[in-house]
Order: sequence, then C-alpha cells, then structure tokens
Amino acid sequence: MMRKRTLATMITTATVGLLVLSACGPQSANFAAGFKSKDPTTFVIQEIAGGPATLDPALAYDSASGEILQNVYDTLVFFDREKKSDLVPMLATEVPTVKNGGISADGLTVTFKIRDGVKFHSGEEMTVEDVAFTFQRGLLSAGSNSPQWLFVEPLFGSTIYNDIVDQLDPDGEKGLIDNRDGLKAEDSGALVGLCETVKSKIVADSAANTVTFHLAQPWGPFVTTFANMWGSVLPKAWVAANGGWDGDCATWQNYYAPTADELNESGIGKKVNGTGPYKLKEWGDNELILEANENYWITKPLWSGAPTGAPKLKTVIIKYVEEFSTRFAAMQAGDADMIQAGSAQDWPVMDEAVGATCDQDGVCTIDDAAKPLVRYVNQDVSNRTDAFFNFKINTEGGNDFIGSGKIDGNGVPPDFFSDVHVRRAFAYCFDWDIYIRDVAQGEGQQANNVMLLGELGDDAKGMHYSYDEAKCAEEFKASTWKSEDGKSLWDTGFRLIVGYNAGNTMRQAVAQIFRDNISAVNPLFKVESQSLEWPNYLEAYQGKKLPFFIIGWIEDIPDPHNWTFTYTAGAFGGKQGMPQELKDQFRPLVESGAKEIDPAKRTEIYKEFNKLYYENVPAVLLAQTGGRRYMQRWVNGYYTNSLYSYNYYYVLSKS
Amino acid sequence: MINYIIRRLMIMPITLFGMTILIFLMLWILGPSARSALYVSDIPKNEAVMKGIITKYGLDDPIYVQYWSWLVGRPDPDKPGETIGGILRGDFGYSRTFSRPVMELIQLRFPATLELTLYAFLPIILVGVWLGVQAAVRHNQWIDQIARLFSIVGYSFPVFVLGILLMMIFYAQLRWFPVERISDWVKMADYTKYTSLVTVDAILNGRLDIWWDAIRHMVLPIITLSYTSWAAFLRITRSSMLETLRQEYVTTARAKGVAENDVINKHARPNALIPVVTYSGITVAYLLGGVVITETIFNFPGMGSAAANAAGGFDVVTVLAFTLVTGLILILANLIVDILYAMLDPRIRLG
Amino acid sequence: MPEVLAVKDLVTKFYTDTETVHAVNGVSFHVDEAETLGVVGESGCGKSVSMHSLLRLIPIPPGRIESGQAIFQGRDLLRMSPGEIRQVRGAQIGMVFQDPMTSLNPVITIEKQVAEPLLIHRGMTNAEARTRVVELLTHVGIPCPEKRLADYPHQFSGGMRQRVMIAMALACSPSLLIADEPTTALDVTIQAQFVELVKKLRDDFQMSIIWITHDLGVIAGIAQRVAVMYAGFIVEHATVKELYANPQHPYTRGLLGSLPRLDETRSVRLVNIKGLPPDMCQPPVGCPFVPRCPYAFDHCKAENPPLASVNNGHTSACWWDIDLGKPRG
Repeated sequence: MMRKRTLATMITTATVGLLVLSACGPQSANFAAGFKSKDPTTFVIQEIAGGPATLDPALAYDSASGEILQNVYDTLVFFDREKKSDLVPMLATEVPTVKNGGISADGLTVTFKIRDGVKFHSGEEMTVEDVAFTFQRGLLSAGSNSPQWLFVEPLFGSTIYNDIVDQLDPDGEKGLIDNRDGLKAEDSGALVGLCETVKSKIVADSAANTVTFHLAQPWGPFVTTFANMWGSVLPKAWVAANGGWDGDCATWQNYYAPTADELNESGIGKKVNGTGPYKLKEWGDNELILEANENYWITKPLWSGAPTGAPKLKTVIIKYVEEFSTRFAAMQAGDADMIQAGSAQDWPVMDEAVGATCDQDGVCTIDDAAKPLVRYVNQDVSNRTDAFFNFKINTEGGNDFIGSGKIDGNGVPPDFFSDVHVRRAFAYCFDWDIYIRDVAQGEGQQANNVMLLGELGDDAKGMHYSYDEAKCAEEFKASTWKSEDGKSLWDTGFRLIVGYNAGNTMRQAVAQIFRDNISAVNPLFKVESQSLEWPNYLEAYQGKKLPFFIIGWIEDIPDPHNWTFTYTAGAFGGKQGMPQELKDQFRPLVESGAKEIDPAKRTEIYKEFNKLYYENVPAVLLAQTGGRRYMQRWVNGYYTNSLYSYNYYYVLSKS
Repeated sequence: MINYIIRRLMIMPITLFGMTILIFLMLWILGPSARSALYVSDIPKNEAVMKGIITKYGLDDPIYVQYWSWLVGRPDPDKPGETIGGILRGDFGYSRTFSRPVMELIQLRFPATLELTLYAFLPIILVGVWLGVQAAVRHNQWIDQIARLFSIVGYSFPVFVLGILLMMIFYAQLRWFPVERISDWVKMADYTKYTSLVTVDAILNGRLDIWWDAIRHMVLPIITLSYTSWAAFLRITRSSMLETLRQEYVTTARAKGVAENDVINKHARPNALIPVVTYSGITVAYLLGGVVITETIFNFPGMGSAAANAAGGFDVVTVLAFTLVTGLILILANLIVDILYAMLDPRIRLG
Repeated sequence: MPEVLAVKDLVTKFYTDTETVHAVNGVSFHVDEAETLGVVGESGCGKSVSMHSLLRLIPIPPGRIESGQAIFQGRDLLRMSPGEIRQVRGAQIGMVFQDPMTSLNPVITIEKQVAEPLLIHRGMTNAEARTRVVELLTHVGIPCPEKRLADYPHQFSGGMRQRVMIAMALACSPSLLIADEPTTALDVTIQAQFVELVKKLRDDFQMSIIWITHDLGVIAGIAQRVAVMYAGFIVEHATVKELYANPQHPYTRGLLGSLPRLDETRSVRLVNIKGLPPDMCQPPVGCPFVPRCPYAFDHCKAENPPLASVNNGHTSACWWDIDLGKPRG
C-alpha cells in the first residue's frame, strides 16, 4: 500500500529529474555536422510572421513586400553592392549624371537611356513605353500610404501631402486625399488635364530609347530614388489586363488609391510580372516561394564579382514563423539557411551555435571550427527609433497618462511639452549608455542629428544632448510652467505615465530610463512607466494620448532630406502635433536643403537645420544600433546593404 | 432515439441564431469604423473618406437592418445587381493580417486543424481513458500512483514549455520529427489534391511517402497536446470509474459469476464513460477550434495560429469570423455529445 | 436433513490506513436443504459482510477473510481459487441485494442482465437464453415479459425490479439463495407480495435460503430458524417459534420488546435498547453487549460468552440466565 510519504518522494524526484533533463537540452547540443547543405539549390529562410501587404510596387511601402519586389522586379539603377551612395546601371544603360549629360546643368531634366533585350517573365520584351507608363501610373495611383511622395515632391514641388491630388486641392480643403469617390466627382477637364501634365513630365522616346523626367526643382537624390522597390518596372499591357490603369487619361481617377484587397482581387497586388532574377511561384498564407528566372537578362556583372545569368539558388522559400524558438530549432536542425532574430535579446541564444564572426568590414574570424552558424555583427543600419514629444496630448474621453491634467504635483497639462525647457530637461535626463545596453547588447551609438551617422549633413562635432543630471535640473527650474497659486514647476512637481506595449523592449527601456532619471532629479517629479496590452497601447497611440511617440524610421533614400522632411513637415511632425510656428521655422531649411545640388552648400544648410533642431529639441534622438545577421556557414556571398529590403537572393549561393 | 435527435436538431438553429446575434452585438459595440472592415480592406484614417464609407455601406443604418445585411448581404454599391457581404453567403470580410478574404483563409487553415484533430483525438481520448480505467481498477496500487504522477506532471507543464522542449530534443537535435505540416519537397510534389487533407490525398494518390511525411509532422504536436490533456481524462475517468465500481450493480455482476474483466469492461465502464463523453466532446471542439500555442510553436498552419495572429494585429473581422466558426463547431460538438449521451444512457434516451 | 452450507468460525476484518475494523468475529452457522435461515441484527453487526465473505465479494484490500471454513456441497468456499468461486456465484449460490434501484445496471437491458448467468454458466445461445428469461420473468410474476425484454431497469417499478433480481438470481436454479435485506427498500404492501413470491419460488425450486434482515416481523413469515447477530458475533440461534416464545439473550429480548405489536390493545410505549451500537474498530474484549445490557456483571466484562445450549437446538451467548435471574450455572 503506497504511503503518503512515498508519493511525496516520488513527486520530488520526478520534478528534479525533469528539471535536470530540460537544463540538459541545449547545452549538450548536437548541431548539424559538416558545413555542406543538403540541397544547395534551395534556400530556406524563416522570418518574423507577417508577409507582404501587396506586391504592387507603386503602393508597397513595407519591407516584407519590398523583399519580394527587390527579387522579382528590376529597377533602372541599383546600389553598387554594399555601398549606399554609389549606383550602378541596371535597366538603364548608364547612371545619369551631370557629367554624362543624363542630368541637365540646371538639374531640372533627367534622362535615362533604357536597355534593349530585356524580357519580362511572361516573355514580352521591355520597351521605353513600359518604363514611362510605370512611373506615370505610380504617380496617378498614389494615396497617402504609398511611397509615391518620393516622386511627387521632386516632380511637382513640395505640397501638403506630396500626393498627386494636391494639384487639384492645394489647401487640402476638399479632402481628396485617399478619397477616390471624391476625386471622381471632380471636374473631368481638370482630371484629364492633370493626367496630361503627368504624361508631359515623364516622356518616353522610342527612337532614342530614352525616358526623360522633367522636374519642378533641382533634386539631389532624384536618381537614387529609383534604386529601391518603388522604382520597379512593370509591363503596361499586363497591368491593364490585370485590372490596373491602361494609360487612358479619361479613366485614371478610377484607379486612384486602390485598397489592398481591390488589387489582390484583380491581380497586380498578388501576381508578379517583372524582369527580375526570380519569379513568384506561390504566395501562401504563411510562406512564399520564389523560383529562379532561367532567362534572366544580365550578361555583364553589375559590379566586379557579381553573378550573371540565372541565379544559383533555384528556389527560395520564405517562411513567416512567429515564434523565435521554432526558427532557431530549424537553424539547429539545418532546415533553415537563415533566420531573423526577434530582438537583440535573441542574439545570445544564437551565439551558442556560432562558429565564425564577420565584422562590418567583412573580415571574418573562426571562433569554433565545429559550430555551424556564422554571424555578421555591427552591420550598417539605415533606421533609427526616436522619442517624439506629444505637443498636444489628447484628453478627449479622459486621459490617465497625464493624471490631473494640471500643474499641481499630480499631473501635467496636455500641452506640457510646448515648453522648450521641459523638452530640454527630458533630453538631458536620458541615459544613452543604458539604452544601448538594454536594447542592443551594447552595440550602438548615440545619434547626433536627425540624419544617419556619417550621412551628408551629420555633424559629429555639433551640439547634442548627453545625460547630465545637473543640466536636467537646471532646465526644469527654468521652466515657465507654474501651478495655480504661482509656485514654480520645480517646487510643485508633476506626474506623468509613460505607457509602452508589453514585450517591446525598446519602448520599455525608454519609459524606464525617464522614470528612473527624472525621479532622481527631484522627488516631486513622478514619472511612471506602465506596460499596456497591445490593443490598449494601440488605442492610446492612435488616439494621441501618450506623452511620447516612440517610433522608428527607415530611410527610403540615402539622403538627409528623407529625414529632415519626415521629422518636421512630414509624417512625424504631424503625428506629434508640432506647432505651426515651429514647422514654419524648419520649412525653408528643409526645402532649400533638398533643392541645393552642391554637397558643400547642402552641408551648410543642414548645419543650420541641426542647430535649430538641437535648440528646440522636438524629439529626443536616441541611438543607431548595429544590426546582426545569423546564417548557416554554408551560405556564400552575403553582404549588408542597409537600404535593401532585407535579402537580395541573386547574390547568394550555398556550398 | 430518433425523436430525441430530431428534437435536438430543431433547437440547433435557435442556438445558432442566438450566437450570431451575440457576435453581431460585439461588432456593433466596436462602432462603424471597425465594421467597415467587413466591406473594405483598408480602414481609412481620413475622416471625410470614413464618412463616405459609412454612408456607402449603410454603416449608420438601424441595428436590425445592419444585422440583416451582415447575415445575408446587401446590394453592392460598386457593382449594381450584385450582393456584397453576408456571412450566410460565405463572405466574412477581408483579413488585413493575411491579405486575403477571411473565407479563403478559413478554407486554407481549417483542413490543417481538422487533420490534426483527426489524428490527435484518438491518442488523447483512448490513452487518457485507458489510463483512468487502469488507475481506478488498481487504485492506490503503484500503477495508480505512477499514472497519476505522470499525468499531473503533464498537466502542470505549460504547453509552450513542453512543446519547445520536445522541439529542441526531437527536432533540433535528433531530427526525428520535423515541424510545420509537410516538408518542402511535398509542397513542390506533383499529386492530385482531392480533399485538403494531406494524409487522405496521399493515400488516394498512392503516395505513401507523402502520407508518412505528413504523419511525421504531426507526431510532436500530438504528443504535446496529448501529454497535457491526459491528466484531465485520467482524473475524470478514474473518479467516474471508482464511483461506478462502488455501485451495487457491480457487486451484483460479480455475484452472478461474471469474470472480472467483463465486470470492468461490460458492466462498469459503460456507466463510467458517461461523464467522460462530455469532456471528450469539449476536447474535440477545442481541438477543432485550433490550438494556438501548439500551432505557433510547431508552425502548424491551423486555425489557432491564424486567429492569434489576427488578434495580435487587432484584425477584428478575422477574429470574429473565427469566433463564429468555433462557435458553430462547439454547437455541433454539443449536439453530437448529446446524441452520444443518449446512445450510452438509456435513462436519457427514453426520458 | 443434509446440510447445504456449514460455516465455521468465519473471521473477516478490514484494514485501513488508520484503523482495523473487526467486522466478523468468529461466526458459525449452517443451512439445511430446503430450509430458510433468517439472520437478524442491526446495521453494522456484520451480517452482510458474513454473506459477502462466503461468495468472496469482499474487496480484498482493505478486507481480509482471516480464518474460518464455509463448506458448500463438500468444498470450502473460502479456499477456492477465483475461477472456482466464479463458477459457484450465480450458478449454485444466487444472491439478491437490498436496493433494486442500484443493484441493476442502468445501461443494460433486462434481457441481457437476466440472461447473463445463463450464458456464462449454462453455455446457452442468445436465443435459448431469451426463452428461458421469458420463463423466469413469468415465473416471478412480471406481466407480458416478452414485451419488456428490451426495457431498462428504470422503466420498472421498485417491486418489479426486485422480482427481476430474483429471476436473475434463480436463473441457473441454485441450491442456495442469499437474500441481503431484499425488502428493506420496498413499501410494506409490496414487501408482503415479495415475501409470498419467495415462498412460492422456494417450494418450486426446493432451494435453501439465507434471509438477512433487521426486521423481525419479516423473519417470522419466512424463516424456519433464526440467528441473531451483534457486533460480529452470533449471539442467539433458535427456531423461529422458540426464539419468539423464549428469547434468552438480552439483545434479542430488547429487539423483540421494541417491536410494535398489532395485538396490543393499550398504547404501550416502545422499549428501546439503551446505549449506542458498538465501535467495530476495537478488538472485542469481553461481551460486546456489556455497555447496553441491563444484566451485565463482572464476568461479562472479562470474558466473551460462547454460544451455549439453552434448550434443544436453541443456543445463546450470555452468562446470565434472565428467567432465573442469576448467572448460568
């Protein structure tokens, strides 16, 4: 008969045994032996869950879609291997410059010489008509979610939304943006006229085999804009046959701002007919398969060492897998050639299986001959996350994040951050070292200015903030906020809750750093951090109720204008409710910086911009954190170009 | 018996109707902009556009009008003469998360879940019940103690810990059982798909290699699901069995000279199984609704992971469609459980 | 008359984690052919356990038949193998239980349940068994049995169910029927019917019966001899007439005195036996009835009185002679 004591002993032994067993798992690992892959023609990569939103290059603006477009379509020019600022000709025969006449002396005319003998996947040959049509259609289909503003701005000059409908509604009062029904109701003469204007700005010349763009202003980064996914060339007939615009100026408004499902039902968003090295074989609900284009047109390598002809990887399978452990298990089992980490937290886990390390200069060292993975560390990145102050915190329906809503020691007023001293104080109270350590295992560098480190306009010697408790206190004391009975902010104190979505280490780190440092400066300053579930966070975020917007931006083109515009007049300036007077101060600098062609003069303009940004500190610029890539050692040919939308499979192969 | 089934079948539409009302009420509370996702794929941020959408699709109509449109559809404002929407027509709206109509998503995901359930419920239920009977018959002996310990450990293991542990050992290291639903070569393989169940199609095509591949992929998820569920089955069966073995009619059976095996299996077990049937029904319904954590870990493309992804992205339309499907499954499962009850227990069948 | 069953010194105990229950403490009795023995006693006195022990229906952990003998048709039931005792159960010894509601399996048809012993012990086919079942059901007085074969126990009334139980127990014409409080759960009128039925069956089948009850009134109607049990012992054993006329044991007197009688003209207060039932977890020391006995004296506490002959065929286990008012000589 089993006594109670014996049962208890059994339970304890079993539990201990199981714990020991689970601890034994990864350490006594037995990874895939040898560094040859089983199937060198198929490449399997496991990425974070998601998948493309649409495969229409005119509308796609996310990196999941970009990754596919980059591999199935070609662009007129492309990046020279890992260099962000050097271009090589792709569908064009040479990169237009002032020197070779591709760019006119006044910078207002840019002509591309188009290559012959390039075929689309369906077999038709690409013509200059296709090229011109692609960009005309892009402009006319735009919408606020698309990347077309990158073309609208140089071709038409800066407007409110930098969307094509601004031409019909310059003050934005008719509410035409994203409003197809409203657009269709416009005067047909005006509509046809706008279409003709677009066609006159993008002109194909089949005799000379060129496509010419007529700009409204000189635009330094214009040619570079064509190197990314929105520069993909589509065949005109195929677009028309698959529910897209056919080029007739009477009907373009019917295709304006299509929704993703409209496209997916008619084909362009779900299907691909490009000139690129891969064809889309299948797009399932959690994976996507590319197959090699055996008739790929490249005969001369784009740069020395570049591949030609059909790609070496015949099949690329991209799986969207949510759980990091599953992705890593696939790496260990040898079923995945490359995986995406979830965050920097996952790096130490993968490091256990790493046998070789390559640094940012491409120098590789072997740490352990037996381990199967290789990691690329400190790789260049083209994105950064910053903390934008919310100038007009929305109190509609109540707002718990600002407490009492007054200066009384228990809250902050909704326009708390309109006081520049408060903003500066917060900036001085931020600790970049701790942030970089928490968020990127210590691999990163504080940003100096809004543009990327080392980019034109970036000034390492210019003024920027650093963690300084004394200055933080000084700025708080200089604040113009007073309580109802006239006491200063310093003597009254305040209360503020910084919300972040559970699981997001970046936002959590920012919240906690502010919380710790500001409370240390003055015990009356109560800054709290609060973890929110995603739906609650999203609601607070979209409702503009949070005191900070902590968001990131990936550069579209390697040019400081992409940053200066977005951070002031563009998306982020709007989001944070930047006061019009401040925007008006930035605007002339942003516009002149874009129009100036001479890099030396541009640097001077951006110096002014940086100084203005520093003095007003509308956002606390955080840090550029180095990226890492992990893959099997049998993967050859990898290099990082931070402007790529993830991978370019044409250059990869497996041994 | 037939009358009983007919009576139950007649009540079913009322239950279904009630469920659709509840789900529609949830949609209603969320407001017209969330409901616009039933008809458009991008919820417009622009106020003017939003107002246009609301008028265009009648999102400010009275509640009963909207309920009816949601149920059977409404005339398509863009394509005159055609209908748009209507869950009874199979139009559940568009899924932002998966970039396709929700109905298409369900058609892709449900067969995977169905297949996994088909192969999982037998090990889960049969082994769990068998463990329970053994534990009861030999109760307080060492088999009973071991069985109970074994299953309590399984029940206490968080599903994701067990799943990841199994994946690390049997997939990453030993490579015995892979994850996902089928291997890549099967995806490329050329065979006719009559149903969307890989194992069935494989047999119909005479491709045993494909069949075996599909089975291998289900082993780890099934073990994970089973081990965490056995404890519950064991407990219910064991206590029900112990209860039954105490009954007078068991002694009567013995007093008639019935062999002990028959006493357990023919006299005691049919009575003991009655509460187990309810739990089995719930378990099968739960499996058919998609097992979120197991599917996510093993990257098994079923209903659970799809619903979870959609929920994480606040994709209301998709989540509610899955709720409808799961609700329907539960109602059907309850009906089947009730029928099984009647088959097992004549006291219920004959009133 | 030849003996059908002779039980000698049966001892059964139950061992649990915390205590030991001394359920049956050395019980001896016999049943002759075509004779009915009544076994009377209050709840917990060990009468059911004794009978269950005979057929080895006691759950073996925690129970244990410690010692004793039960010779039935020349063989000791207590020493048979499980296979052998199974041959006896339902075939040579039939058993009827107290609560017909719970003694019949609710999910098996009447036909199957009654036919079961026939299929096991007589090797009949289903068709043969069905015929016999109809015969049996008719014999026990169930109207239109052919129509009720596919019915379930819950579709019968309490009295009918008990008749089914009898039919089931008698299916293989056993020589001994053990009836464990078969009428306790029935109403009085049904009880009477049932007793009549059993008497008729007894004559038809010529079988011996052990009838367990706590109701002395019922015993008078059916038994020839009676054994009175208390605290796991048989304390008195006599023919029915003798017992009712001349009860020797103080407990028996108490039981009889507590019976309401129809022929009492004046309202007489019912006499109850003072005290509480014995604690079966204590091993017996001395006479177990001491705490409740009006006649107890020193010797009673020291030594447990054995069954001693009082009269011809009448035994009683008591040190005190009630009629003479002094210890037995």
